[in-house]
Amino acid sequence: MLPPECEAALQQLDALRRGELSADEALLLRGHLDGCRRCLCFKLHEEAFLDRLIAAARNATCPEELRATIYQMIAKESRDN
Amino acid sequence: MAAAPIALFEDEALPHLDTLYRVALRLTADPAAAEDLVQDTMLRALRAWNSFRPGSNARAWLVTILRNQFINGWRSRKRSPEGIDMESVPEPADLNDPDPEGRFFSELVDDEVLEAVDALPEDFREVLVLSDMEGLPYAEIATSLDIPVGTVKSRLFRARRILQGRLRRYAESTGLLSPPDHAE
Repeated sequence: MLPPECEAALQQLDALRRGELSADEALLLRGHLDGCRRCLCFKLHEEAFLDRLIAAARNATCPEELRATIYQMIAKESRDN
Repeated sequence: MAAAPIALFEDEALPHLDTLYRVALRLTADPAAAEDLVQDTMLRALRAWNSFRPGSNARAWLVTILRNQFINGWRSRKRSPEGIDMESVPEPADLNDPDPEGRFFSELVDDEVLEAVDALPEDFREVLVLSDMEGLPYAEIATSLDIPVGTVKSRLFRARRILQGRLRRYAESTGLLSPPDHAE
């Protein structure tokens, strides 16, 4: 069972990462993280996980052939209209 | 409601092709199917372009179309819903863990991560892909999936726990990570 202040901190981590906390809220949360190893570890764990997900996703881009097909499709629709 | 001129379609829609392709790839887990799904999505979007409100969120609009196309035409061809063993969902930040900061994640290769993502149940996978892999805001995901923001957050929390658990077990099974020591 987590202490209430840790539960509150963990629930705010996403908002901190997304820049959605007010300056005061962010300051308060950072203060908690500085003094709570468990919450800091959780934050670092989440960041390592999310960084890995983003890196895995970014290696895939729309294939050039598909892009070209879509351009042709748009050109055809424009002509037909 | 003013109709969006067709000339704007290229400006508004094409910058999102990479996002659409990646989302399609994770939904279908098949590159060829993902290409077909994106092409179908763009054709449908092009033909419905008159209903797009200029100034509204084109990415959310396109993701909604893609998801509807997937649900209506693609899902039945591929995949079946997977049961979730919630008992196996780990608690975060176990300080007895040899790697509580998750450094092992960086040791995994893309294919291992993506296979684990693809194995998530669909409801969890789509939220995780849109939020954590594509960076869409909660509200935009909620609009695209037609679910409340609270549901987005709860599915995302579950998806992360399930995926982290699977990646951790994979890392342990391959020797990248030692199992936690609970003997103390």
